[in-house]
Amino acid sequence: MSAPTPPPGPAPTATSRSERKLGKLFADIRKAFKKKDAQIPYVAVFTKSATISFPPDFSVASFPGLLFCHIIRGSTSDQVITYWRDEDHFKSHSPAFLSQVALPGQGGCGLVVDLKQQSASVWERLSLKERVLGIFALAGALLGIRVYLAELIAAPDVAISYPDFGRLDVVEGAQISVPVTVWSQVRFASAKVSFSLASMQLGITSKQLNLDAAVLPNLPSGQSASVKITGSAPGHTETQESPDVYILSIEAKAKAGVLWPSAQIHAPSREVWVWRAAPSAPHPTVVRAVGQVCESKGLVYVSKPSASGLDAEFVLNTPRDVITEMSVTAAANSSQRVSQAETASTTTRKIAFRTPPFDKFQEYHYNFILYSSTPVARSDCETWVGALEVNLQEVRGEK
Amino acid sequence: MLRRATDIHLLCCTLFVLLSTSNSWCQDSELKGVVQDAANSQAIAGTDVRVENGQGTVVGKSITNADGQYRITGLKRNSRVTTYYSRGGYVPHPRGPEEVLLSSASNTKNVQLLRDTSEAVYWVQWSTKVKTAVDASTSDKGQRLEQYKDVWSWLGASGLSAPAQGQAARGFVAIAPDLLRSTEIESFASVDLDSLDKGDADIRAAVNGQAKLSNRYSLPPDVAASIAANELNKRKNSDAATKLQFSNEFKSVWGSSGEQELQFKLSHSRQISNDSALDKSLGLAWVKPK
Repeated sequence: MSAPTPPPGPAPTATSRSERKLGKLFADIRKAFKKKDAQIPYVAVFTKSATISFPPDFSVASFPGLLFCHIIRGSTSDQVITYWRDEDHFKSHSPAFLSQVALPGQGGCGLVVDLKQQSASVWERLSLKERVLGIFALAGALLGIRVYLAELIAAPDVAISYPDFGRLDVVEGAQISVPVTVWSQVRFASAKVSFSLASMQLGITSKQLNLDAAVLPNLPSGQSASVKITGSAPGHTETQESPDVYILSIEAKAKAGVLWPSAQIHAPSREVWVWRAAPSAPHPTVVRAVGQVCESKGLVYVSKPSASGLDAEFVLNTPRDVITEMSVTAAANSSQRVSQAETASTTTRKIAFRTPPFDKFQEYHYNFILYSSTPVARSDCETWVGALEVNLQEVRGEK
Repeated sequence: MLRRATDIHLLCCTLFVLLSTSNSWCQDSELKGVVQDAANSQAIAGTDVRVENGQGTVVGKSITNADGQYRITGLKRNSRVTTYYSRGGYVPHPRGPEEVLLSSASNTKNVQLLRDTSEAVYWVQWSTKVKTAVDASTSDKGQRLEQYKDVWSWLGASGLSAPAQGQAARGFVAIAPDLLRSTEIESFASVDLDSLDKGDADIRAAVNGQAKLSNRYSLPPDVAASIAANELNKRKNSDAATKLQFSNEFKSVWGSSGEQELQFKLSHSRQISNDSALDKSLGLAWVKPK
């Protein structure tokens, strides 16, 4: 380990050392004057015709109240300028000072008044410690102001969302309960959210729903709150067999900063399917009418679970002697029972079987094929399948 | 050789004639009729009709045609048979057994089924029909009330779903509000259909041992008792001990008054129609399956 080598360059001269000392001296003077709690220094000047120098064991600390002192070297005489805290200290300790420095007597003294100096920049006037403290103080102040400003001018950045996705299935007349999450993305301020609308719409039909909290008065920054939308599902429309598809609409007003206007916010649109309580079967759709075959596809909407399956019946009335055979292809848990009855002009055909078990809100698909005695036109096919009656009923004894 | 052949031919002819005569003598009867909707009298096509003999063997079956008509031939004349009628979406499901004496060559048995629906319009039609029949049968208010209760009891025993019963009750109360005040019918009418549906499912599940009995949907005691009694009577394994055990459980939920309602309904459940004129006019003459 060797001591660090001093950097190369010219050795400091006596002048440059003196200038540095002088600079430090004035800095100390300024510092002394600038102290809030400092009293106005008391200055005393001592003159001596001979050369003055401080003894080797001289120390400012030996003289209470003496802030600092220095010598002014003149051509004919030297002067010692002393700066005291106040006149009392001067009077008490100046005799000892004069004695140690070997000065003849007082030249002039008095309070420093009306000090003029060149203005220095803020940074020059502050020490490093003060600068660091100042920066932190400024940062703290800005943080405080930021929160205050956010309370005034924060934009209401609030979102409404659902915790789950996809459509919502509900049986007609049943209770609806939809959780909704309101999430504030407003920074440094709380938001107020007032719900203005919660409804289900089907065309021009609208069903109002209830909210367990219509107003969220103080939604903290970055936080979310849950609101539950409740109500009873409307009855199923009589005009169709498939579930009614409503659109769930949720609107609210959000406000954050006092001076910032409220914003209208919406939840993403979501479908609500209102199912019939009993299984419902729309007419099947004709897939093709080729030759003497009429093929169609259909489905039954089953809203309630059925552990034992359902008793399925497919009944068709057609003009007599037109259809030679009727077949149904669908998932079944039993063999099919096929029967037929006739009047003078019509034939009634029936196929019955047991379906597999159902979970709630299921679509039960089937293929329905008619075989005709003559070539089939699509219009005939549509007429026939339009007369098909599909019935799925709970197995007797089961609810 | 020729003579022998002629004899054999004659013997065969005689046997054929004898067998044919015997066949027509043993099975010379038919059963026919019409199956209609009880509320609007519309024909119900595709109704399964099943005829069983006294031993429970199926001796004939058919389905109704587009006019609601059925015809089962080849039945034994002067025999007693039981008939069953079933059609998806209708109650009773099946309707029967109903005993028929095939006293003549052609016998008629017309039946009416009720649609298991909660459509209000349907039950307005039905209750209007009931009112007409009740008003025609008697002018005494007390007797009318009893007749409404009797029809109501039949509805419950028919296996009609609770929401449909609720809608039927609304229809009844609408046509005779004063008469049906403070009755079970009014209680049914006062409960919303969704609560009826869910409460009904709860009670049925409890009767079948699939869930613990509760009153989550605030059903009145008489409504709950009616649902429970119908379900208990429907179950084949509902012996006296089972009913007693369930009654105690019922008491813990609906109290003593609820238990009394249940006991009353269990002991007065309508097993057999009294075959009154009212029953005939409404097509209720029907034996509940045991």
